Amino acid sequence: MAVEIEMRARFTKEVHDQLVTRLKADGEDLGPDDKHIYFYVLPDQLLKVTNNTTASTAKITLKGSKIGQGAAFAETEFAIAPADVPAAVKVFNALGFETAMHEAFNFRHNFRLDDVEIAVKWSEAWGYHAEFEVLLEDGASDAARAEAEAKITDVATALGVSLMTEQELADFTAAFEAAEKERKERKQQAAPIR
Amino acid sequence: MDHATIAWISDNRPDLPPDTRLVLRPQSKELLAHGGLPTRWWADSRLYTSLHGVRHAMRTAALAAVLAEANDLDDADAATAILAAAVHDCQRCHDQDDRGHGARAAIWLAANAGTVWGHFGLAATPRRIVQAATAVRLHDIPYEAFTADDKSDHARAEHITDVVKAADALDRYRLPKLKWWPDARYVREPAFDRLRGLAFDLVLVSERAYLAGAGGTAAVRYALAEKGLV
Repeated sequence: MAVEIEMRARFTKEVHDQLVTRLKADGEDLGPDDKHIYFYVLPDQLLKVTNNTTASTAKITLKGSKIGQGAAFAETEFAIAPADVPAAVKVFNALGFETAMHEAFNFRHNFRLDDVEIAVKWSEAWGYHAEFEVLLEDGASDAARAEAEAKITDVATALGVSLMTEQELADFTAAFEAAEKERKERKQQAAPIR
Repeated sequence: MDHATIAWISDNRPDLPPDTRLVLRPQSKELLAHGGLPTRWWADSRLYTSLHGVRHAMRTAALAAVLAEANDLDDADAATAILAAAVHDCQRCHDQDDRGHGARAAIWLAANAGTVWGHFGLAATPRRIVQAATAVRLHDIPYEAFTADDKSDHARAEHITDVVKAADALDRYRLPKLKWWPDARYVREPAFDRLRGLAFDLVLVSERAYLAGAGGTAAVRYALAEKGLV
């Protein structure tokens, strides 16, 4: 199981535009990578069915921890056919995960700078944001993980982006989940249309 | 809309004035965030993704919010204009010249006022319902065809009606013929011409996003974010 060191930042449209300009000038442009994601927020894990709409591929991913529970994510994933995405979602929903399911389209553009992969994104819930990622081998040492976090922090600082703390991430995702729960309850209680 | 139509729209971009930097009031941003309109509001659910579906509804609501700023509408009138713009086409039976769809939507809005205002987190008051329903009813009637009753109704909700009609007209850049594109002669809105660039970009960005795979709501919200409106 590979280990991803992931750190995130949210920012305004102005900061987004400055970041993209900088990454196009100084980084490696890996191109657009839009995704339609069905994600299941489980108590200690995150399950995702991802349709990579730009790449015309799809995958199922299980992450060993939730956002806001540390930067290291043990990850297992396998490819599926894009045509099988609806069936995969149907299976997970039928297994009882439907109430934990959220759906989001991510407009995404990937870059690499100093061995850090940077996905610059927009989604309805997060607005403009970026994910900074370093992929480590199985069983990477604590020192290697700390080094990866330091590298990401250095790159983000050089780009003028403030990374979110684990507490900020936990608060943000908790607020999102609460708002989604309220939205679903409101939808169920909505009066019939006349 | 398909890739060829979007390319045609892009290729035919008129010489438009540069975007005026417009800032929406917080209330309008909040209302646009509620703009993910339920499919069940549409009389025919097949039209939800069509030319008069949710993307047109949300762009029209956003343009109404911008026009509300341009015309210094107060908070109550701005909210009423945004809400009316969001639902103005939801009772269409088809995408062609559907006579009377404004009147049908006005009746539908009055019948479902609690649900619609509640969706936007607002309280439905008799005055707001009458104003919104009036704007919705008159949106598909040309000014020159107004009857005496139409003129009387218009006088009771003049600014809101004018904003909704102008917002609807500004979103005509989505239509695949140049002669159908926005024409200031058919509206009563001084700010109409300076908002053409914004209206054009909202169509292009949101329709491209929709074709990239985003849902209708996400596609328009992305366009609003790209234009700094939310």
